[in-house]
Amino acid sequence: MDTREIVTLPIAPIHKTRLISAGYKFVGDFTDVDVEQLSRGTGLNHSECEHLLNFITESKTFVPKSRLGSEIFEKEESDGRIMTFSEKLDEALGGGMQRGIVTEICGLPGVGKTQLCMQLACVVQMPEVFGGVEGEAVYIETDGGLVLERLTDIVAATVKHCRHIASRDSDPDIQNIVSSMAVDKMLAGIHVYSCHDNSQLLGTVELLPEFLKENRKIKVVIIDSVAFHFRHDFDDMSLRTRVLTNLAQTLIRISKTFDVAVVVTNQMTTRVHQGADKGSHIVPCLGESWGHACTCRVILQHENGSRRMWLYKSSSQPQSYTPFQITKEGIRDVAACEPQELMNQDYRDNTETDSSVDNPSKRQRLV
Amino acid sequence: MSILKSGLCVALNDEVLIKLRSNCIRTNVDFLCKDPEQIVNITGIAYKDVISIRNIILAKYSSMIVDGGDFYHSIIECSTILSSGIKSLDEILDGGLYSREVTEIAGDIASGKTQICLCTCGSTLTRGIQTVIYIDTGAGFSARRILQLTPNCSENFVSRVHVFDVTTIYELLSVLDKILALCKDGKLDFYKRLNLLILDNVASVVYPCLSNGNIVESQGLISLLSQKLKYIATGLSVAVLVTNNLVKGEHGKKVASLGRVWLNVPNVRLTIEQNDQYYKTTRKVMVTKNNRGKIGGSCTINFTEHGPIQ
Repeated sequence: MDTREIVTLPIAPIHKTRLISAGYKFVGDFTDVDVEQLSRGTGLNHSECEHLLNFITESKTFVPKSRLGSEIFEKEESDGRIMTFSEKLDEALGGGMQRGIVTEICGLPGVGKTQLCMQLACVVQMPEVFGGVEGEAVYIETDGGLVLERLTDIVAATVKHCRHIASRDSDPDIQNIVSSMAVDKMLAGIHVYSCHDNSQLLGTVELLPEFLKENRKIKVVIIDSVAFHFRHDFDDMSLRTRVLTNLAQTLIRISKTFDVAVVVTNQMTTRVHQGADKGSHIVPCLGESWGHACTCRVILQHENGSRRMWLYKSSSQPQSYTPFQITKEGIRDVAACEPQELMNQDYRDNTETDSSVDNPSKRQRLV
Repeated sequence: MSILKSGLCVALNDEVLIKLRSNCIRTNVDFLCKDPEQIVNITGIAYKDVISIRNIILAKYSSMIVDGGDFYHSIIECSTILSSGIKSLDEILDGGLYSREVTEIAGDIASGKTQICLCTCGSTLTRGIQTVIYIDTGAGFSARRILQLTPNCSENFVSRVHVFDVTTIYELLSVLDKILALCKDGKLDFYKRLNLLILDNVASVVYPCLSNGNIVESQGLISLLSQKLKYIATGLSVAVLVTNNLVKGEHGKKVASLGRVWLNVPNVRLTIEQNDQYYKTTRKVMVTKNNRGKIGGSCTINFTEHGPIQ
């Protein structure tokens, strides 16, 4: 690796200029060079030179890691995904939210982005016997949308659901697991960060690897919403693009390194067309480059009074529309037999208790 | 060019080196730029030594002359045309992806760039013993999808693809360097049989360093990146496939991103046309640049769950 150019290393531009004007162009040029020599040649002080030399020596031995296609295949097949509690949504997503990628949830206000996030933060903690991944969640909220009462509702429903399944099973192990499940315990498994401006959000994401290193149980990182702080305060749009693409790459790195699912929500904005095709479209915020950066994009929509998920972008699943509903218990499938009822349904009014278990079509799949 | 070092040849010993350095001749370029007689005058090194150092530097760093006929034959021998796995696409590309060329697919969000990459990857894996390197910057690689897209592709085949997860341009450059070094080394079978390198997506690693107040740095990195990709393509006879985003250019027309420097880099550019009705599996692909063939050819690809419809 002696032929690696100095320019291609992540070194401060000012140091690069100094090194190049002193004649150092390749990593190989530093063989047998000591701090004293380097300092004389470049005019940088000793500590800077020492730092540079260490960094360059390190980069010489750096071996990029690669994975075999077959390893990835096995991982894709065996990896527990994070369910949404709606079988149809899971099916459309290829079994639930995938780990190791960044999934973006877009939608107009009130369509259920936060509800879906809360559902995920809760389901990720389900024990393996019930098809969960027994993880914990990091919840980074930016717009104060995380309502604890609502979260408690969903957590309680999940615990109840597990108890219900367990009641049909006499296996003592399952009984033990179920009796250890509690609403408080599950709430404690959701680590909430509140970010009040964009620098705080960026800082939190930058420091997240440290936190994840210490808490290996975390399987999902949720940012709700990523757009909130980036929709204002930016005069320089190219700066915003740069910051956002950098954020997206950092999130992808986090998802790969720690094998977590990263789920971010995004708001919608109106794009007015110019020229011949007059009119406007409602499109996700944050621009095109951000849209390219996320691996998977789903758009939640209202359609004829009910809700549906539009799988817009995914590298492994076909685009699709999937209806879902939000009940007191959280995200659920729409039962096929009651479309009329759904037309007038409001999630707060839905007092049907535990319909998810009584009605087989609403029951989540067990592995 | 590199810094002058003792050991390059007998005449260039430490003593000579110190003399040269004290007269601000530090690099090979400094040495070559100066007249030999001038060097003798200012440093007092023997004329004979200066000439021999000069000759050795020239011999070591200049490229060899090859006559056109030999060049043609050597290229014909080591070139291959890789099928993209999509018949209509191969037709507009005059057979498929050529080794020694950089092919680019530019398209909007969810336009099927990654799908074409996965398809090409699968189709290359099922033919012979060729290997593929997939550099993934957006976590879009899916082995499961390759198997779905490619008929007769089994789990054994996908073991011949190496996936590098890369999130910054610096990582990307070091991966490319490593690949070059291993290929030149020629010890590993995998790198000897390397036929295709896929970079999906180039824009997402370049964007974060673009226009960060230091235009020299960002443009420099783009040209270094393109130089390396070109070198991998021509030097190792590998087909290189990159994907890129589309941005609004002049007059509201969509063009491939990363600016004018990058526009020259790919030998062949395919543009996936904007489709207003996104909820469709068909995409229209057009050749918008081709160094060796016709441009303007287009085809429609229908991506279904089980592979493209031929």
